[in-house]
Amino acid sequence: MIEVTVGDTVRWLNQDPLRHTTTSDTSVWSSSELSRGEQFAFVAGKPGRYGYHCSAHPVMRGTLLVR
Amino acid sequence: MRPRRMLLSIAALAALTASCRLLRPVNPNAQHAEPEVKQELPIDSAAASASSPSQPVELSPEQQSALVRDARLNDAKISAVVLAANNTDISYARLVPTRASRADVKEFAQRMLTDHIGVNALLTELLKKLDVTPEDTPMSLDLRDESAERRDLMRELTGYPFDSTYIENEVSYHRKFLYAIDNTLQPKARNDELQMLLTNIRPAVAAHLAHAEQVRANVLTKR
Repeated sequence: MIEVTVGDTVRWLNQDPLRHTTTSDTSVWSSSELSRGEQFAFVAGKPGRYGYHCSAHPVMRGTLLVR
Repeated sequence: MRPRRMLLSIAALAALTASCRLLRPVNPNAQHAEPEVKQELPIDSAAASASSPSQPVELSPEQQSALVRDARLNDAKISAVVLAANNTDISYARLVPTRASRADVKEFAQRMLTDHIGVNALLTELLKKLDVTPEDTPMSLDLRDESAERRDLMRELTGYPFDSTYIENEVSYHRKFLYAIDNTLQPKARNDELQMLLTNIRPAVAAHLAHAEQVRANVLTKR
């Protein structure tokens, strides 16, 4: 789990050779498919626990906790 | 409070879900004031389910002997095996659009096409840079023979029989590929960049295996 504070900017950087997304389980954010070296940023606006996944590889999952 | 920025690595996320390693969000401003954040992430239930792909894959002695018998693998032979393995799964996926009935099977196959074509493109580019020509080996030839037999079988099927046969085959294929990466290909690769490529594709192969197992469970329970 990644913990951030309201107002923080969370940036995902794809360092993998394959394309991936970062997609909120509840549609709070969703990137396009990011190629290697591409980034996606999300400003944590509301406190909460946000599950997210890669839509291309649904078993790749994470959690963002916004305090 | 001053807003902070955090940088997450999707590759690290992949590695996390596949192997439960440390994910290290890096704060780009850390050199100024704020500390680097390091956290050990718990395993999410979905990632921990299915095959737990971070764990070594177990195969039968017969399957193991077929995969490790090329004791003299060099980088050219390893490359031929990886290309053959990717081409094998690409060939299976190309059977899907006209034969499968389930949307999840079709979506899975489309992802296999995208990823395995992508890996082959990266490998081909690397081989050109290294001036290495792939050399066939019993392992790569076995992969081709086996895939031809399986394609012949699947070509005769449509609907549920195809869906179940295809996805079962995907589970088996990715288990074997993962085993080969861990026990033969990655350990025997000599060139650093080839070794890095194999290291980098492992989480995706593990994710494919876990995904295939999820789809197989759906196919078997929701006929």
